[in-house]
Amino acid sequence: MNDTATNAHDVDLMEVGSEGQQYLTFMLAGEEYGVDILRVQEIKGWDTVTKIPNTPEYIRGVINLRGTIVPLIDLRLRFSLAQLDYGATTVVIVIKVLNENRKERTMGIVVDAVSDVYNISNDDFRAAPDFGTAVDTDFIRGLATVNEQMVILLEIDNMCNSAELKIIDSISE
Amino acid sequence: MSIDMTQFLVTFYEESFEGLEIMESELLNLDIGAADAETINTIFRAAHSIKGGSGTFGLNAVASYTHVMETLLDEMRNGKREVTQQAVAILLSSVDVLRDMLKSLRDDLPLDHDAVAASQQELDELLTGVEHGESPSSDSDLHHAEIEPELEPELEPESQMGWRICFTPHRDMLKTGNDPVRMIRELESMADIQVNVDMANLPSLDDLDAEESYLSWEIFMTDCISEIEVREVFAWVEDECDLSIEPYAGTVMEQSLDISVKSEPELNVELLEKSFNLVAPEGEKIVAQFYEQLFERFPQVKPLFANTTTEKQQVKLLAALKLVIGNLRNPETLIKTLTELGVRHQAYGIEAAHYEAVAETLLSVLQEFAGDAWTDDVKTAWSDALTIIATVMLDAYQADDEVIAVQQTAVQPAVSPVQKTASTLVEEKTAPALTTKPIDKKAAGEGRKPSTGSGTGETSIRVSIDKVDELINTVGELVITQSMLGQFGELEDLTNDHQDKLRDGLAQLERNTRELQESVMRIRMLPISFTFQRFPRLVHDLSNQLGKKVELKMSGEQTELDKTVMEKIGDPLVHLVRNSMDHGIESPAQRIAAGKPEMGTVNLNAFHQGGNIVIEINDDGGGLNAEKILAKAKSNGLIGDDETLTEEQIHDLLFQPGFSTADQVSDVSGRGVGMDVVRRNIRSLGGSVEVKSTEGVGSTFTIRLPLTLAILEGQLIRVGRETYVVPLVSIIESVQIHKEKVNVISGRGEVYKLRDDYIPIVRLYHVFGLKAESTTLDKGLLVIVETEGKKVAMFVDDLLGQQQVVIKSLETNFRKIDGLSGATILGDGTVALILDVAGLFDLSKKITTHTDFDKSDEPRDSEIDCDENKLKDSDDEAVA
Repeated sequence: MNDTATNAHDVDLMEVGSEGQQYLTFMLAGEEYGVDILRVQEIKGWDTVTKIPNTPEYIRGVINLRGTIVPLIDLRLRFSLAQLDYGATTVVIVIKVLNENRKERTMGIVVDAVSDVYNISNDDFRAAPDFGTAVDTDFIRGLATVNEQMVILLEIDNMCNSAELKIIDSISE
Repeated sequence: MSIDMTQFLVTFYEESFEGLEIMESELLNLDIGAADAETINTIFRAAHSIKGGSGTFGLNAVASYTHVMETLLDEMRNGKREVTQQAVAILLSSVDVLRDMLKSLRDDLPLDHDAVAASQQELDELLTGVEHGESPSSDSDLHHAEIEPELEPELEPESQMGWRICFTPHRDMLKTGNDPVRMIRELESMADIQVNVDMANLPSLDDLDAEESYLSWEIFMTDCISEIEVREVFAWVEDECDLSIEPYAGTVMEQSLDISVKSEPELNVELLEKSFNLVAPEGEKIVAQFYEQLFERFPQVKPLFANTTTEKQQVKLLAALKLVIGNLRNPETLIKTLTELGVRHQAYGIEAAHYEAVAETLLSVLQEFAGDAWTDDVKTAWSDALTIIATVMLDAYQADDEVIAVQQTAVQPAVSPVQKTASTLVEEKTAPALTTKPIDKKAAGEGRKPSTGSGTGETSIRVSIDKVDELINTVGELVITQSMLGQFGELEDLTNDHQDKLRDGLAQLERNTRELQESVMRIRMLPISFTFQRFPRLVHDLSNQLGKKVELKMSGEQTELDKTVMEKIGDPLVHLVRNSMDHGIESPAQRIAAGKPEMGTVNLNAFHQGGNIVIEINDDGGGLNAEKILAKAKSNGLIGDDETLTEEQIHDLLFQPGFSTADQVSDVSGRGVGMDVVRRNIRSLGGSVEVKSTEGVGSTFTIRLPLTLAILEGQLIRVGRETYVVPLVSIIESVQIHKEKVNVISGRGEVYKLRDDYIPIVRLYHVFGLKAESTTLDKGLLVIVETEGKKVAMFVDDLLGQQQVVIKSLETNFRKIDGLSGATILGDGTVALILDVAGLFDLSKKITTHTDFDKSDEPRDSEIDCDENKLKDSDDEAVA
């Protein structure tokens, strides 16, 4: 929301592939996923959402984030995992996503729990193995090992712009 | 002292466009033959301000153009000229030209010099033509000068070689912040000038007060600049200087002579000839000596002669000298020769400094040869002559630059018509740009507004001081209420008395908030006359073009409307008015035959109705021919051959894409693009448009628009656990369902009989795939909504309260959803979605799978029904 923060973060977005980056990791069905921490706007608890009619189930609806209407995506449903009841530990990570035109928008992703913040240098990356059609690796930036545990680093832009979100986006602009 | 002029420039453009609008409307108000002096005065003043402003900002093209207009108007004002139809037409077109000029300047686009020149010529012809009767062009300057001495300089620029300006600032001029140097520079930027400074009054350094001005100048301008333009340079200091501006007729040569031999106005030709004849026999020696000395004294010029030999050069110089002396009494030939020579010299790369070198050398060589005959007088004569020669030759340089400049500008007009045509085409695919030009350009210009708005000052609005005062009052009250309420926060316990006061305070706060909101919204509201004012011109031009007699009547111009809505409604309105004139109003002959008055009428009416603004465009023309429309629609394949439609449905066909009943496609309309665009534009504003027509009597187009796009008066409804907002303006009524009034047509479409109407029922839970509380019709409520003349009954669980909601876009972070126009935030902080009634109706038509309503309690599962493909997508992407 803060202008300077946004700008700084824009600059940093461009520097993928230089030094290491910090990643915020969260848990989803026992696996640890990471997103670029500079994309994270805030973390908040689960609250009532307003369902949007005629949208895929993984779009849980919209919330009021201090006057802005922000859509929420349930990552479990997005990845076709079993749905979990939302409770006190359910966490919404509000992130900033850029589309192809580098237009920024705010979205929330619903995850099981927030885990940790890691410094992961680009050398520690492993490219995601090719699963063929079984797994779409488009939105995986890479795999990293932290404390002997695998962390799946997400390419958040690809994920949130994919499929129907993106298609409609081009119409509305 | 540098001031950022751009901010003033923005204001200048704004005011100029306003001025142009005033000129336009007043011109249309002018009674031909019996013009009201005050009206002409108003037009004159508008033109005058534009001229003055453009002069101040150095927009000389605009200033000089406006000047001609002003002159014409001035004559009208003084009664020297009659107000003719022709004059008004030319002035109107010049308003267009001027508007284009200003737009181009504002947007940094190239000026359309052709159009300007053509229009200026028209104006000039009008001016001179009437003055001189039948032979405008061949008249002598003299004759012209007798009648209109003041105007003579601008009108006959070719007779005018320049100005002699004597400029003597008063002693204390500098103290007022005016700097003569800047004015001279300004003159310099307008034309070639020669400046002589008179330092006679300059005191000795001891007595000199640095803050006083002691100098005076004599300035000669050689170009055809209008006197007004020259005067404008000195406009700020008129009272602080002695200024005389005299036309300076004569050739450049003579003038130059004057400049350089100020004390001795006539160049001493005799002396020159005599002295030259004296040395002529030794000419060859002289030139040889000359080059020797030249290279010796100014070695830097040597490279310039690299391409030639000294011998050749000597011959040339001698020839040139002889030529000059021989033609001293024949200045025209001389100037021509020297000019040509100058152009060639420029090509060689010779600069002003080199001429000085040559002059100096030549003088000393001549002195050597002339010996005793080289008196001071002779020397002065030669030195003057050489200076003049150098000046003339250097002038040729600049003349050459001008040629290049002219060539460049000649290219620009060639480009701009293309651009113009392109924008014309975008607006409305009109082919003959010539006839439709004034209107289309205008419309295109208006259409561009929102897009270019960000860069320029167009995004500003003018707010009347009343509205601002009101706002301040309201804020004042709000602060008082706030401080009152603040006291309660400090209390330990609230007694009953306190609670009452608290309640009062909260009520007051609510009132203040509402008032504040209203005042703020009112700032954005402007009277619709801003949009209406372009129509008199449009109707005037179009009726001429179409050969119809049409009178425009407007009412409700003061009806206020949100600025954003207003900007977007302009073009659809233009289209509808043009349609009315082209298709609606019949030709005078037809009208007389039909027993109607020859003069057709188009009414433009605006008023408030509920939370809407309604704009009606009504004509007393031929009305819509239902059969013709039907036949056309069938031939276009818009409807099937055997379909029968109600009259309303037939009229509605007008708004279908690709529909036009005009027998002939005209410049004005008939291409079938338009009405559908009109409807789409109006719909995008959340409004509706409908047409009512009686054949032979006329048609009425009714546009309904929300007053503002930011706030909506909403009715909250509940379906299951979801709350939605329905725009209150679209709700007609809400009814409890009487089961016997529900009919099911062919097992699919449910209709509800409300009085004499059968209204289709849309089950909101069904369309949106929700779990509803009640799925049997008699348990819920029907909300009858209307959109574009069609009624729909929405089946909902419950009606909640009514409230104003602030519209938030869903598209900012998400996307457009069918059936929803946006979202809002309710008092408890949750998000409620705002229904788009028209979109909802369209959506309901797509979902027709459900047949057996009353038996099924299962909500339609949207994820499975509609989104199979999407689910597949997510399957593919899922991490195993």
